Amino acid sequence: MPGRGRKLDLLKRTGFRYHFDREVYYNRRLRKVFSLEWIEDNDEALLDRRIRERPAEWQFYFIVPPKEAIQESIIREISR
Amino acid sequence: MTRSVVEDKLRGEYFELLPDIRRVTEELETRVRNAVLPIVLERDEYKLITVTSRVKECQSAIDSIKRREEGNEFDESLAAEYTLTSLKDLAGVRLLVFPNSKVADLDEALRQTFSDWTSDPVVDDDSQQVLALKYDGYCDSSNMVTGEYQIVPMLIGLFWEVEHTAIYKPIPRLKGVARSLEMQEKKEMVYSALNAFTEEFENLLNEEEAVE
Repeated sequence: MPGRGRKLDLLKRTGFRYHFDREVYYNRRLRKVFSLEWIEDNDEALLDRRIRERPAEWQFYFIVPPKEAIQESIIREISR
Repeated sequence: MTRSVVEDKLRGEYFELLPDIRRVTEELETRVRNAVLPIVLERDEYKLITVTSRVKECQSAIDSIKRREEGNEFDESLAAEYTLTSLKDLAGVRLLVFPNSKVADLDEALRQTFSDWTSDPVVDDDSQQVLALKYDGYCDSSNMVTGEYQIVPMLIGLFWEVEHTAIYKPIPRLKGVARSLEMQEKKEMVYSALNAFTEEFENLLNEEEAVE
């Protein structure tokens, strides 16, 4: 993955943690979830822009947007 | 916890496919061993080739399908679309090879037997270096289950086996840890070290052979 180190550094600096069951990076305070696939497919600049966005609700950055039921299931797990 | 319809369906499918998976594994291992026998029998004191086969376990197969979904969760409304037959490695054979220079010889021998199989090498994401050769296709014994064979440099293959046996087999959930960016970085370092070790080893062997 090009730029893996920089992406990882960005995620860590901005408080994201890895959930190994779901294989996503999440931040409860920012209410954002990035899938590994999305991170792999997009560059560091876009990752940085998405992290800086301030949506009102939970945001899921996935290649294929997850259905609501799956979003709710993921939020329940990462909120434990 | 709500029972997953998809998992139940896939579990049922696994046991329907199991006789085919076993037959393909048996056939594939036999044909692979036959194809590489001339190389195995070559008089070469520094050569090491091992051939092993395995039938993929049920839960491992289900987890492989699940890991294709972002967020690792099945879409229960699409249960009919999930099938274990989309996996290429239900029946697998792995050749571990030392030295690395023998990989090409084995590949050539096996391509003569499996000429219409699909190549899908294992590639290191960062360096784009091929870590292992991998091919999949159908054997005569089943038109539902594909087989897969891999030709892997010895040290890389043994590392994968240690990783699998020590970590993922006892605690399958930890496969998710392996996919993290953090562990991908560490794995890069392992591959780099193993390749450097093997290269130096082979250089020394070649020097000795040149002297002789």
